Amino acid sequence: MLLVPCPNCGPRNAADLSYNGESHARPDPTTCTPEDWRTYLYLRDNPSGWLRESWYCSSGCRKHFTIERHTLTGELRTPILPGSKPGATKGETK
Amino acid sequence: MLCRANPAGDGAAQFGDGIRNDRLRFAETAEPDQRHPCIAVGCLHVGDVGQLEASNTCGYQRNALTGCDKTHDGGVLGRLDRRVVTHIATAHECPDLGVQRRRTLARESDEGVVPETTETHRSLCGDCVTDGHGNQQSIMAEHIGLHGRTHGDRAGDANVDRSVGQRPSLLVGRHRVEFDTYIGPCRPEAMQERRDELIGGRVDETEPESTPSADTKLLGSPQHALRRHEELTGMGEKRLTVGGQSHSTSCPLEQGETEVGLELADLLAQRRLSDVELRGSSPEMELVGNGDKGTEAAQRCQLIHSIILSVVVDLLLHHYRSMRQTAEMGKHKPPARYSAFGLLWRGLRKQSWPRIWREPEFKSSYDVVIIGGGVHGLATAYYLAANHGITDIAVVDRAYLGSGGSGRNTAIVRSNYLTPEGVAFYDRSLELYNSMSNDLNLNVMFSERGHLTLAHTDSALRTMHWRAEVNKLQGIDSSVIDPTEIKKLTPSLDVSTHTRYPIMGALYHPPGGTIRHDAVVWGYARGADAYGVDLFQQTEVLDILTEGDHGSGKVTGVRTSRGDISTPVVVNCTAGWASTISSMVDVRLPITTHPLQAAVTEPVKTFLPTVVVSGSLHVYVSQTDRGELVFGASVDPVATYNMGGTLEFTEELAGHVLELMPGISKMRLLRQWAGLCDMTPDYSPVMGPTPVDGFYVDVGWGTYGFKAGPVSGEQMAACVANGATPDLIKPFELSRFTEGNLVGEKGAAAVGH
Repeated sequence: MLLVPCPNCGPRNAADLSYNGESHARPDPTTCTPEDWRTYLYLRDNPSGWLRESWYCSSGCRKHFTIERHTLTGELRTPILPGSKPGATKGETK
Repeated sequence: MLCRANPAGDGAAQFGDGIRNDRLRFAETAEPDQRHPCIAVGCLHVGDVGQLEASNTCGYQRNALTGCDKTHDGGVLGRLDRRVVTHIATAHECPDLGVQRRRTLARESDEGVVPETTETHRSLCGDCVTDGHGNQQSIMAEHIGLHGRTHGDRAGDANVDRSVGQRPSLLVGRHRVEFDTYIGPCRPEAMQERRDELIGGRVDETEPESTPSADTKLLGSPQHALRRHEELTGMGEKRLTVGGQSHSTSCPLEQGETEVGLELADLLAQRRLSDVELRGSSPEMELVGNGDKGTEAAQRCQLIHSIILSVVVDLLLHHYRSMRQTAEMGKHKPPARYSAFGLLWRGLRKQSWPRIWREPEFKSSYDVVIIGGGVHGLATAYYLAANHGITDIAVVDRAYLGSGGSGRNTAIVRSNYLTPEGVAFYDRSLELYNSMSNDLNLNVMFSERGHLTLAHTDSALRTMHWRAEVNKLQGIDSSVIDPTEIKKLTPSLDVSTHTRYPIMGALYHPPGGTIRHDAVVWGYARGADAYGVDLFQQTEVLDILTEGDHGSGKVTGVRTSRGDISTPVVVNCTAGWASTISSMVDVRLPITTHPLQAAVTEPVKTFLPTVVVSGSLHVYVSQTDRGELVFGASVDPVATYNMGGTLEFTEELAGHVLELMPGISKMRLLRQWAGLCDMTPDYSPVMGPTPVDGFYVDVGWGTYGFKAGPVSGEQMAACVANGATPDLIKPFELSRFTEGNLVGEKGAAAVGH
């Protein structure tokens, strides 16, 4: 079982949250080319290692947040709510 | 060109019963300089379904009339009638290319194309294809001789002798085809002989006393003439003669005339009947018919002898062909052939079996390096060697061959996909799986047991209908059945209406089934090894060496845990680990790696005759030959490279399986495992070249990689060898994501939605 530390709700079973996948900066849809937009939509780094990704605390605080997770070991670190600084949350790493 | 085209309705020999409106005619060469002495192939118009035209089996030219590309083995075909094209294309021989005539029978007869059409075509037109010497004149003559009516109008072109008078003809469906029994102008003496023959035959016909039935009377002439024709032209090959009647005119079928049925069996039966009657009519054969027991016993004995003889001859031929095949493989020692006889021989002599593939020496340079020793990588290596003669190949795998998805999948194969691109692709794969045991000389235990995709909601049922229609249009055996039929097929399923997810129907796909996945891997490994491909296990790729810019340079080599290999071509067949390999050359892929878990129960007596899949319940189940139930599910929602199993999976799986089959609640799970799936956004693979020169990908195989193994190997081999993406995998190129041309297969490719 994967324990995901929500910045608001603390460690929760991953089944209680929704997984959004890799977190990338969204290009400005008004200025970017279709190719850039599709690259943002579809292409992924998908590393075997540390990955910055986005989760949604769907059955808790209903907030989206980002977190770093090691895709091989399942280790989690530095959960961040958008707009806040790293470390300013109640989240715990596993 | 050897055969002349007939514009539609221009006296073309017509086959079919009118409803199907199959018409057979002969294609015309587009350009005289494209002429090729090997072949003119017929084209079939399939009434409501569409049109196809096979032009030249050599792939010498594009189809003159429809522009469909066709190859000897079917290749990439017209949109609708692949089966027919395949059939026709393989039915002829090309002396120039040394391709053997393959008398394959069409297997399917439900979609407007009936096997006897082609068979009939061959019986009529087989000789027009070639006389074995590529002699155009004689071929032309033969062709015209056999298609008198079709080509009689063009008699001036080809010196058809119309003075013969009464021309024999035969009835096919409601249509009549006449014969000009005629020998080509290249052999005038034979022509004279033949004419005498025919006149003699007509005299015979006029003797009612010697011919007890009308059928017999009418049948004599064309059969005899055809036989004579064979003798004269040296075409000793046995021809299926359609039981027909000879008539003096080519008028439409009149009331009261016997119509020859469409079914091949009928045609054959009628022919046999006619033969019997013919025999019965001759005085010496009447003795046979009198019921003499001794003679009957002798006949039986003769029959048994002939069966034994034919079996022995078949075995010897098979042995000879296999010897030829292995000899053609070149300097490398062919692998020991597996056979019942070999098993007995080695068993009696207590011989051990040799290693199935070599432990090769690590070289510093290869023409092609394939990363990933699963079914995709090995199949690519095998087809590169077998189809394209490229044997200087290294296949490297971090662990052992078949250790990834190839050994972790649930071994289900099917072709009932949703998009035309997907259906064509997976159907080719199923074809290759069908002949795999023979091709690789290894029993892959293909069990064509049928595949049921259950629908639990109205929308699911609608999708099933959609898939069934797409499949039918492409010639795939697939239909929607109701719960009653489902219950008949698989009695263990709960089809009652009081369940949480009542079964409302199912997509039934009879050609689907299961295969032993390890055997497929071993078969390809053994085959590739026999061609001289080097297989390196426990060899990890650390880096891919390139020159030029990042992300658009050129591949120069591969750095492995055993040392560097210099190579111009690298093929990435690493499935779940695809992104890690591609990142070495800065190629970003639209892939996320998710684990897919599976589980297996203890073995029980066989009770589940089909493969059962439920999208709503995220589960698929089949029973192995050993009696275990194999369960698979949807991929885990969180992307990870960790292949550990979870309790959530087993809980969920057990709940869902019991909703389908409440009767197995006492069965115990033996083990569970996980494999890595490289999921793409549109549930279709990513195949072909990348922006980096020499770096090819065959990835994005998600939950459907095993069933596509053979065809992706075949197509990737063609892609690498020819440097151009074959049409069959053109829709799956990496560039589709930046161009926005996705191939949405999610509705049919997975149970995770």
